[in-house]
Amino acid sequence: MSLYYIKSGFQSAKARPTLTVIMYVSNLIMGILLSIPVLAAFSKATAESGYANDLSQGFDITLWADILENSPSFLPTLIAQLFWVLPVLFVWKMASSAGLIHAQMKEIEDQDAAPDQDGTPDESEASAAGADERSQRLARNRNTTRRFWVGLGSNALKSTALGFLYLVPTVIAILIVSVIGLVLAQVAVGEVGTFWVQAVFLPLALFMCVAFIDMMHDFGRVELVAGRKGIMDSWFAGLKWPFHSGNANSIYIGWMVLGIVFLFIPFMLDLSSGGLFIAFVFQQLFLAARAFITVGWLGSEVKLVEDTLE
Amino acid sequence: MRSFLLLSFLLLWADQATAQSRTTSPHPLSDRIVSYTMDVTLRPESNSIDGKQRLTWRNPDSVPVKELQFHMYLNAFKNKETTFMKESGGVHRGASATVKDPWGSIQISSMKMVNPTDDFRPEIPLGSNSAEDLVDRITFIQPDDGNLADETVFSIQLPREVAPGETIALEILFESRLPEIVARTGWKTADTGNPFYFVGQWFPKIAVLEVPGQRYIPEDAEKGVWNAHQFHVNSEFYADFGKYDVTMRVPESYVVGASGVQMETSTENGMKAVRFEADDVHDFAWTASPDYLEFNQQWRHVNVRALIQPAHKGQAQRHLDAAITALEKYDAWVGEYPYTSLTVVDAIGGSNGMEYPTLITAGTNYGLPTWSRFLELVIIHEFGHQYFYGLLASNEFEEAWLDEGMNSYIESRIMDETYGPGAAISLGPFKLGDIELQRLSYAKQRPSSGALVTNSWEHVGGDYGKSTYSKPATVMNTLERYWGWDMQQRFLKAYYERWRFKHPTTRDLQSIAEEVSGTDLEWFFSQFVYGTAVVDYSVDSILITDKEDDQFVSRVRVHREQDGVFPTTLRLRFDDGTTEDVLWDGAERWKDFRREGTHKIVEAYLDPDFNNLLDVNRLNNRKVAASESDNSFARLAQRRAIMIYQTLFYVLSGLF
Repeated sequence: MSLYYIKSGFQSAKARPTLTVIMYVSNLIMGILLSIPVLAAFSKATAESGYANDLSQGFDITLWADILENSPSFLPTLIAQLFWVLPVLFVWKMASSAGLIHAQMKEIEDQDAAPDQDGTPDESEASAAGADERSQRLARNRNTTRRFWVGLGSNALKSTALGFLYLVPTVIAILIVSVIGLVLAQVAVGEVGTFWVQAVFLPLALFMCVAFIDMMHDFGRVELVAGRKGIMDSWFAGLKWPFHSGNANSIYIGWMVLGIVFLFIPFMLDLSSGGLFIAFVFQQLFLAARAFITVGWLGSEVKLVEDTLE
Repeated sequence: MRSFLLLSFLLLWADQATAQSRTTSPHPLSDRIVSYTMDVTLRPESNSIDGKQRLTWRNPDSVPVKELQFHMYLNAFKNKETTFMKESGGVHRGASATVKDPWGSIQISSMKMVNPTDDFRPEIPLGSNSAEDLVDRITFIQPDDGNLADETVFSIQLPREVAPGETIALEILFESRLPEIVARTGWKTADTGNPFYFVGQWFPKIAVLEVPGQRYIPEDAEKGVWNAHQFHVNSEFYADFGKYDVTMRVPESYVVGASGVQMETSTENGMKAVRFEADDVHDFAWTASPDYLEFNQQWRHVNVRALIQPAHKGQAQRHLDAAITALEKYDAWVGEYPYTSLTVVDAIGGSNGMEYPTLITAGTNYGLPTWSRFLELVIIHEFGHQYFYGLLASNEFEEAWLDEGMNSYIESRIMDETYGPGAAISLGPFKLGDIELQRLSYAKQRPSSGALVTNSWEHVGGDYGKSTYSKPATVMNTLERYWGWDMQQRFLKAYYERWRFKHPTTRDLQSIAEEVSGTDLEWFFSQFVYGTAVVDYSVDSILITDKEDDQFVSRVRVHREQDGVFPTTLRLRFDDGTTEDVLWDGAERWKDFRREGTHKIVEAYLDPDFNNLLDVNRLNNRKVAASESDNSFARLAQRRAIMIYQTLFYVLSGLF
């Protein structure tokens, strides 16, 4: 059954390519913005140094140390950027997720396709009904984009508020894991025990807790947008989802694994040939696929919630 | 048949003789000024060692001597007022004294002169000897800082003079209270709950009487001078060569490792007596723990023995491999390792990363990944001390760089040659070699402060590590590149052959270098060994002036940014691809290099082969003309940054 919902999410994302484009382009724009200081610093340090080719061919710690020494504001700038990008990222995540949910809601799609009160079909869809496939696709994409922005506009604030609320269980979970870690540290004493607690258990436990709460958050957000619940009702509803739906867990884990793979591959590519143009192009393809996964992931969750609420 | 039996007997005898020998020679290899025979008992219930010591000492001076001076290193841990504790604040190399029981000390309860030819009878109380007990003659002295609370050096006036060349014997009863390990020596409770002991600098140790003509004592001095410094946080040790014969009595379940060769073991009443002998060494350390797992491997004449903590069993072979790598390289590059044993101890806490004759301590962590080679680096470094400190027994108080720095140089060479790029760390594209690690530790850490030749306790502001380890390693790596590896090897081998089993100085090292190379190296040693000159050359500008008839005048201006002067090569590249190398003595503060012709200079590169590792900024060594300005690396870096940020954003999005 969970495979059905994953396929459904995949189909939904495939049918709405503009959503993937929106997610990928926004991710790319933010990356480009933050990379500007990198370009500026290295251009200043190396353009006339004659070392450009040497540095391009391999890591040379001697030169990197000199570059960083010559650009003392470089690392502080990179760190300072995080102070504005993290809040922006947070708000964009909340708002764009609401938009993605809205754009993939069956109800909204049906509304768009339904005829007006006077019996005539919606202008944009109906007018394309008899048109060729390309025109139909273009019309569909326009509508998808419109539904995304409408959903974002009408749900962004509520979704952001819901996001802050989910920080509460996140912090609680981190505290609980930390306490368990401290207790285990007293029991599993010594070097071996410390290794397994600190290097294995704690990172795994924290990862699983954060993923679990993120799953609750996802479904809470779908309840907010698709289920049209209030913020608190959505919050409570989201908390319950992982416990009364095996499909919810399967969907989340399935898409999460895919998401990790599609991030891992460009990362590994970066280790071997990072920065080379052809490698960069391949990485962008994988990151675009990762954006597709984001859309499909939410699509699966929307489908599951809609089927459950019916 | 008779011949066969005789041959078998001879072979068996030879085999036994070799198995028991402490060095590769049946004859003394050093001038054995001292010998120590000890019978001691470890008392785990009080973390103390008591025992009897027979010390023989030969007066090396040409005049009679009535005063002896001794080191009592363990008194550094007596209380908070000692020089070591005041200088360190109770912290040493990251290990700190816990509240529980950090204190240690050493006390002599009896000291008598005995006949050097009498047998050592530890079971006979010293009280039965009617000679005067000299304990009351002990006076603690503080030659370095006048800190009266410091009792790490004492002077004793003997009841009679010791004639030149005469050997005297002292029998000493002492008790050493081991501290909880902060700095190298003491006890610790291991993760298993069992005790761990590392016993270093633990017995009353006679200092070195430097005679006229030795080290920095003038040839025409009237008499020798005792060289006995207090135990400082940044100092190590200095002693004369001799023989050690030590019997350690420990609980039966303990595994014992020590300097030298194990001669015999016996057990009685739950205690085990283990006797070790070490010849032609100047110190003796030992360790005991019931937890040790023992691994052995033979390399030529050397039995390599690793004592490993149970949690690190999976890394035992790494210990042995690193030790053997070091043996091979030092044998090839410097000279023969003359001892038949080497013990590698997987030590705990502040006792790790240390050297003693034929015994070294490393330290590792459970789960240490193979891409991190700090374990190998430590073992290779500590083994190197068998040569620099062990055989070439420089004064670690006054010229610490002669052992730490020279050793760090060869360690860096061994690491990079054995493990390639990324010798220290190799993680994906991030590779850090040891030579580069040493260079950066010097070049990016106040390079203008801390001369190599500085008393160890007089280094300020954290300069000790840089000036003793990484800067001398970089200095020697630079010297090697200056005159080539062949000459460097001849220099190292000559230094070893001339000064092994002696106490060399910086001046002696320089003399050997000049003798072997036939060149005056005062310019090098005065700037970079005795002084604090910093090398930084840069290409300031490339200026092209058009002339008539398609002729150009190219002017390259180079700049000596700091006070260090070092000959360097300037490589000029022209727009037709040809290059020209110009040797520059590096003396002027500014210098112009002009070329006229149909081709203009498009690139100027100082020290293109990176021979001068002392140059603290490599980035400014090279410049291209504006026409060759190249942003390709900046764009590559930007693409990489974009990808990293994009990935990071997806990961962060998963958190909320």
